[in-house]
Amino acid sequence: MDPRSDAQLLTAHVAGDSAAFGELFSRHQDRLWAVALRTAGSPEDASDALQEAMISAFRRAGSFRGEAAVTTWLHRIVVNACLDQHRRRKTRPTTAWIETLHDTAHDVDDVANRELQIELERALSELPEDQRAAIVLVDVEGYSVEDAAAILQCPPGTVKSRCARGRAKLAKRLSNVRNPDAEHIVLRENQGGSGT
Amino acid sequence: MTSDAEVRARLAGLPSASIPPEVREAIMARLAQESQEPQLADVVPLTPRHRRRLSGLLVAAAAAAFVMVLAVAGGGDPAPPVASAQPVVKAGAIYDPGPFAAQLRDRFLGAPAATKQTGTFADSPPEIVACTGSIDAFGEVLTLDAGVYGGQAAVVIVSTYPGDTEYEEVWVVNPQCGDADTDVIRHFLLDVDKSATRL
Repeated sequence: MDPRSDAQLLTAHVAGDSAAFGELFSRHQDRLWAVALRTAGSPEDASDALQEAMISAFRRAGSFRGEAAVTTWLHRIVVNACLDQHRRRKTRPTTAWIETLHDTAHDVDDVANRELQIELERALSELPEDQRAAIVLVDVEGYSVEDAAAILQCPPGTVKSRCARGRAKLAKRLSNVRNPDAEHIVLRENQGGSGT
Repeated sequence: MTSDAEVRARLAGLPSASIPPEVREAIMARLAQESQEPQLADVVPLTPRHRRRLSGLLVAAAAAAFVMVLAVAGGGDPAPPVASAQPVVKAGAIYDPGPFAAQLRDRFLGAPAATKQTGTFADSPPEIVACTGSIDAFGEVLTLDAGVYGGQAAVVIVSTYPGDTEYEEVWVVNPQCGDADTDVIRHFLLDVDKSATRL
């Protein structure tokens, strides 16, 4: 384990240390991937976007001004690359990866729960990109609203409202999954009530 | 109805996704490849290789318009410098040599054009041509920014890098740059990768 801080690694990279950036990437690769996967919407897009983002960060390291944490800066580049990648797509990405990911997960035991989580993941992938990116950072990856705002380059209040709107859609989707006939039942009850 | 709290709890419980080995290997290979190239970082010093490349481009400039300019000039002298019809002139920047590239991006993307004369060669198209000619700047001049660089009065010139859209060429010169002042305070290529906005 390299004892240098992220900022020291980046400085060393700019100074010509050929191994420094690779170490920096290795240190954060899984979290960057997790953000990329759910922001881009598919493993293929995430792979392309993450690679593009890391090359961009590698080349642009000299312009890093230290106003944010190195990880914030890296995540910002990754999220932007993912959103660009997602916008370039002409078709909706496949979601087969979601079931695969949840198949290999060990923290979801019962079948019903797993189905709900898969549905939640699908619904997340279908959210508008601004809401999806905010929720991935704050609710899935556990970043503070302030850090997410720095990554997304918007005010914290905007992050909060995007999360709230996104969560409301996800909640509705989960409710429908749990009780697909709920809306019809309510409708029938209302119709019955008005007729008596 | 599913509550907001439950949604948040379920989102937090989504499985973590580790990077697939093949993705990691591909990225590490690209980074290793980048490490072996001379253009390491955002600011790329102009190397002899670049100079040779520029010379080669000029030799290869058998493009009709270019040849016509030479013919009209009536001589075999080196190609005249090219200035764009209307480069944007800005003024008032105070540049630090350290974060120069970042300042350049901010200025050239966000700073408005000057509304007054700058008191430099940038005020006059013929003088711009004279300056770019004196420093062998062959690209199309995009922007000039009159201000201060490292504590001294200077003009920053950004031009295209002939034949390669990945780079912009940047010069820092004196305010009186021209036939009688060919000093270049700083000169480098700015790497403009695909995701960056062109200066």
